[in-house]
Amino acid sequence: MPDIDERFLIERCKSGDRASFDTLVRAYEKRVYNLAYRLSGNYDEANDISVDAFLRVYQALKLFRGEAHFSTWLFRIVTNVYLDRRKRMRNKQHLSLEEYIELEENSVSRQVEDPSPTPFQAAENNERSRVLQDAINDLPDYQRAMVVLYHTEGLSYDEIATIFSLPIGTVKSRLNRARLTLKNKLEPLKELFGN
Amino acid sequence: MQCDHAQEFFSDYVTHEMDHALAVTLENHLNTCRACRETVEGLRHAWTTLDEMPIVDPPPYFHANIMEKISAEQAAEDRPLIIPRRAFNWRTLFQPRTLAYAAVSLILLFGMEILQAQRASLGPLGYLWNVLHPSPLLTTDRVEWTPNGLGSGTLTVHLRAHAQANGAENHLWYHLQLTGKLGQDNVAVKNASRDGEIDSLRETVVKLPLDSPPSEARNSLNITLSPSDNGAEGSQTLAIPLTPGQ
Repeated sequence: MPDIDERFLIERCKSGDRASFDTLVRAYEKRVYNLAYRLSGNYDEANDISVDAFLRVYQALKLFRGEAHFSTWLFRIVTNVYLDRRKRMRNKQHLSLEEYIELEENSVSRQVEDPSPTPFQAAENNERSRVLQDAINDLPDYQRAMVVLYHTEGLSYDEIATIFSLPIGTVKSRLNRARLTLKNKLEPLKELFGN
Repeated sequence: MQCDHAQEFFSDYVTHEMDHALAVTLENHLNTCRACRETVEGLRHAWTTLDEMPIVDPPPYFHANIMEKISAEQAAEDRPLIIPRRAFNWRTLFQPRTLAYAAVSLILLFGMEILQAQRASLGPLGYLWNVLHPSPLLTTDRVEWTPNGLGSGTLTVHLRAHAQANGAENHLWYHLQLTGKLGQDNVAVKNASRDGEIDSLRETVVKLPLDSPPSEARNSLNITLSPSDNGAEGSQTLAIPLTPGQ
């Protein structure tokens, strides 16, 4: 979306124009969902993160001053929603599949919802992507977020530094570390990824 | 260049974002260090793989989901804020602060009463009592006519002054005068007056010898009272009821 059109659209959103907000969502929903998926590695999580992020955008749009690109501001919100959820999840107890529920006669294992993708999502589910996503999922939260923002969304070091309120040098250093970690994980699978 | 130092520049080298001089230094190191060379190659490969990650499409209900949440948020914003009226909490009257304020107020009020001088102006409570229940300065216990058998006699007036509201003694000067009607006017009866001093500690008896007994129809008995003996300042004139002539 051209900058001028986007600025006009955002102004209309700020004044409460629902149709303009609908247009703004449509312009960015795919990128937001993709970012959310690459961050979380889970389709349902990606949906929840994206919905929460757009809700925060709606609530906070009046505070957007336009000093940075709207996309930078938006991805900052998506990343923060993801990191907040990760913090909350770390505080929760992990559910063990080995835990049994005692019934009167028989014991049954605890049932956990199958997180496998739906048939609609199966088109994306190939070996290479899954391995890559697993490697990304193993990264620490901040490194994961930086890798995805740089390589999936194409943000610059500057923009990533703005999102995390970090010096550019720190961003470069962490990205470097993340890439080397991924390189080590992917190296054994070179034949899968080709040269 | 050492390996640890070289590693910091690998990403910039892969993306050709290095200063030329520094790039040459790094290349010289890579030419001599197999480990770093392999690391750079692996990094380049990972980089390409990351850049080629496919875009994941959202599910078909995704947009509807978002706009439904926004609608709910809008509805919540539009709902008027109802502030529930809270019932008065009687317990607040017994909180330490409230009790302290009440105690201080009572102490101040009674303290002012206690500290007032006896003959000074009325304290706040006394003043308030006087305003609500003004008491007479004087009461007449009785008025008596004692005839002497020749048509004349003595009019005896028993007077008692009231103590002041603050308990101090009331000290009054009086002028007692009998008047009689003459046409439409009331004129002083000759030799039918007395002056003196009365106080609240004792009854004062005033005797007026008269040629004939007074009657309410023809006479009036007035007493002018003043707090000082000059008879002018702060004086009051009261009518003393006469019993029918004897």
